Amino acid sequence: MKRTDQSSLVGDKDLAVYVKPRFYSIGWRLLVYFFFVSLLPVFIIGYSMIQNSQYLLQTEISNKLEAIAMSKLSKIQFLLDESQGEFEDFFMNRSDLLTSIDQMLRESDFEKRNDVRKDFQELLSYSRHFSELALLDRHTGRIIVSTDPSKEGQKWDDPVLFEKGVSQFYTENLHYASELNDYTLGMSMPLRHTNSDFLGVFVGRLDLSKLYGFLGDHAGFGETGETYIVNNEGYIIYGIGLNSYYRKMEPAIRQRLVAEYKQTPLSTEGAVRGMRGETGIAIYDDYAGNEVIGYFENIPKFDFVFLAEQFTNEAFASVQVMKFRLVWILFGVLAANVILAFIIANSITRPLSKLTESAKQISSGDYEALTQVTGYDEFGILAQAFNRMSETLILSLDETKNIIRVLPNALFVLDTQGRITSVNQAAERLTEFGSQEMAGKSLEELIGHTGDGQKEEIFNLTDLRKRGAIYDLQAFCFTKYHKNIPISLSGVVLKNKQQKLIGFIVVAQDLSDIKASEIKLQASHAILKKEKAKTDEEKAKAEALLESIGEGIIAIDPQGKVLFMNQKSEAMFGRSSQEAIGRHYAENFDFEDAKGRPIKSDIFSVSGSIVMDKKIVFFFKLDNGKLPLSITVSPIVFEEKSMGNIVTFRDITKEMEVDKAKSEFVSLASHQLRTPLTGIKWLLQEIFRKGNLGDLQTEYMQDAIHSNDRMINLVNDLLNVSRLETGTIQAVSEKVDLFEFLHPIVREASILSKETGRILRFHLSGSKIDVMLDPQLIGQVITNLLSNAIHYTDKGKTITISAEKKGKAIVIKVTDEGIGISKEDQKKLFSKFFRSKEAAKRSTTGSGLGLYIVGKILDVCSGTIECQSEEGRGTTFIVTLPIKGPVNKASEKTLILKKLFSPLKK
Amino acid sequence: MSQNTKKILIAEDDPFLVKIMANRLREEGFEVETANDGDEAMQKVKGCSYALLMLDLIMPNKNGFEVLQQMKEDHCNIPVLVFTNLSQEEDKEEVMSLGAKGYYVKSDIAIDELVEVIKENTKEKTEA
Repeated sequence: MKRTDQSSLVGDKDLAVYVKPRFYSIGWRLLVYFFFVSLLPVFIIGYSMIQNSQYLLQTEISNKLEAIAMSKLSKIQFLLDESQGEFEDFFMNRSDLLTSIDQMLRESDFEKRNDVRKDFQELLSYSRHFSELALLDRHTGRIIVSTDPSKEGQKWDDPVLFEKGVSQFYTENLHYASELNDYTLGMSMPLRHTNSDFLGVFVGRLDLSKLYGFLGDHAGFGETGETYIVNNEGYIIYGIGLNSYYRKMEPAIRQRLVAEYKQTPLSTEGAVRGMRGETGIAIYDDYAGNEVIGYFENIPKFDFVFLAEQFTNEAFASVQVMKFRLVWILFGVLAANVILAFIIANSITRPLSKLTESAKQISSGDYEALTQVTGYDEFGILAQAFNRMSETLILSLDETKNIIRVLPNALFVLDTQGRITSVNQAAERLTEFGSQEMAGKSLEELIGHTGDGQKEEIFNLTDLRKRGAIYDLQAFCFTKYHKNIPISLSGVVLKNKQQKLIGFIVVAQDLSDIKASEIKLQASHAILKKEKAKTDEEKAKAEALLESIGEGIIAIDPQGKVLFMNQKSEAMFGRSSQEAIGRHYAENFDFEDAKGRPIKSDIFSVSGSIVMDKKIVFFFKLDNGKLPLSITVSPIVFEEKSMGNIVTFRDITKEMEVDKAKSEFVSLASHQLRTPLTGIKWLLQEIFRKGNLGDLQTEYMQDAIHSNDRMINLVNDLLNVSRLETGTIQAVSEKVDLFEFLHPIVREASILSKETGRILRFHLSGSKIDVMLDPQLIGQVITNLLSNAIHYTDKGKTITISAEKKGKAIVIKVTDEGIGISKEDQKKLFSKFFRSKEAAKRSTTGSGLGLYIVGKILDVCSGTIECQSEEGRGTTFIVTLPIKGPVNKASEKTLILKKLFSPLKK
Repeated sequence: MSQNTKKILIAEDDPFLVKIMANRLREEGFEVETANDGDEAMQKVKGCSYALLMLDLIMPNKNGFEVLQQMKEDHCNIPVLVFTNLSQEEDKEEVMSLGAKGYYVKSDIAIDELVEVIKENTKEKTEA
């Protein structure tokens, strides 16, 4: 199923250059990503853990070192205390020995000396702490008797011991005695006979092996722990070379080392600081250069520094292990990362390279290069999509080929040299050659300028190449069977995406049939022209009609573009129709509302058959002010389809001026009328109050007051009307209980009804009803309705007022059994100065303003009123008020706007 | 100021109304003085010796609003009741914001009620 014949139509094989991805490849990015996501946190956490445990361990070791030092020091202390006790107690209860010493000294008897020495040696054999005892001459300090007879006659190695021991008990410091080639610690005291004769100085040398034993015992101190003593000059007294670390050395080397250290003063941090009198713990290099953690304490009593040290590599071994492990873990994670990144990258890139491979194949012409990527992950889906794409490509290619095949016009595909590579069926029909016969031929062999069959270049290929396309060239086609057919020839160049020329397409249209139909076409053209002239005339007539209308008219299409503007609207808006037509009306005109806010709503778009409310007034901004307009929008409907809207503008400047003047006059007049009326009122009241009036006079007086009040009421009504009309009254919103609100009004009315012999009933259904309303304005409405009802109802009949809550509204009904209102009059009931015939017959006092005011107030308060009546039977007025109170007038206006016109979306 | 008789100033340009009010209030035991326009009212008020000022709003030379404004600037704290025939809510609001103690529409108030209002307002003053 390989297709090979389409390559000439599609393009070069090396259409795109594929580059292998390198450092930005998914694998590398994954590796870097994994590195940062896993390796770095592991390192940071591990490092901080090590730091933390090293700190904890150091504290622990410090505590341990201190404890070891304490225990050893206390043992040493105890040892010295015990030795001192023993030394002092040697001659307790031994007056016999003292006597024989006394005799020995007096008689210079050598036999006695031997006895005394024996006694000394006996003392020493029982002693637990001493290695040598001797008696020094009280004058010379020479040894008289010693447990070691070889030393008799010599001086004691430390002269201080004798000097001090002459007068008191004395313990010398631990020190190095060169004569002994060892450290020594001696004690001395004056030896006196019971008769207080001073016999000499008794001295003893401490056996230091126990002390050394304490120092050398490194229990709880590991392999490298050691304790040793340094004297006040920094010389090591004892203790080094005793730990397991040194013990493992060759004994000779060890002894040499020890001897060396004993001869050089120590300058390690522990020793130096200890000699300065400090006590503490530090990490430093010891005498042999090993890093240790050491505890040092200066013991002033013995004048030496005690040191306890342990190699840090042993002390912190566990941390070392941790560090070591961390390195391994890091290596492990790194290795895992690399492997994981490699696997994932591979699993991602393998299907990708497969897809790339397929894409390459498709671009090189193999449209059936399906991808063998399976699975349900993103790659599986991508592969499916890819396969679908290539299927679609095949289909669309087939489609294109089919279209070309069945195209009524002959189509020739030429290569860059101008040789035919493929043709369609129409070309075969036109030329009468088969496609195989035509392949490789140049176009000139088939087509020429004239009908004489001369072969010449019909398309200059260089020219075509330059121009890109040549259209409608008149030519002739020479068929296989020598017919010359008139054709129209067009050619285009075929380029690939890189704008490289890959061939030409030439289309030839057989003109032999068209030539005949051209004549027919000309005839119908003439008819059309006539018809058009007619319609133009009609249109001109209609336009003239529109132009002559006194109101501004514009027509807009459903998209809001201005189609037409008459002269009046040109004058109104100061725009010529040429300027405005074709542009959106919002670009042409700025409208604003009564408060000067721009109207942004899509004001003229009215769908269906809605006609916009005429009452809404817009102002058009002029350079020198505003033009008040009343606007009507009506849809243009043609064959049940909306063709746009006709907008009519009426300039209402005059009306507004008249309205304003009228209202101002009424307002002023009312005020001026009120002042004298007030005077009359008060004067009459004063006269009436002063009394002394006869019955008739009293009645007249009341009548005068009453009639003056009527006058005042009338003026008040007129004033209200003017204010309502100019819009200066705004409803306030107060929360009231419906019963408490209505009760005083009804009571006042019931006084009037009782006086005049009518019955007034009050029904309030439901419990407490809270409602938001303007008590003054609504009170006026109810009073007015009740007063009307009483006026127009016969004596003895009933008037009912009821109130109830209905959904989100309050419904108040005033029903009377009065004269009723005819259907005809009901329509005019709420207009200004209107009085029904029946009402006028009955009473002459009405001004015809009451219900007008009621209506206006309810407008302001967002309420409604309805009248149901039957002549002679009675009337019901139904007032409905929103329970949430009056909607603010200003926002109400925009509300209406919003309802009527959907806002312009930007 | 006398303890028993309270002095009241009526600022009103309509002589007819002035006469009725003044007569009636004198009858009720008040000492009454009158001013025919805003300037006169301002001059009389300067001494600050009134228990109450009854003020009209529409007057020649200086209207009631201006009188109230001036009094406010002068820190004159004589209580003021406005008696007018302007009945718009905005007028009332403005007058009250300028410091008036009350607002009454003359045509809608009976003379007896007016007297009650005056008594009520002067009583408060002496108690305070």
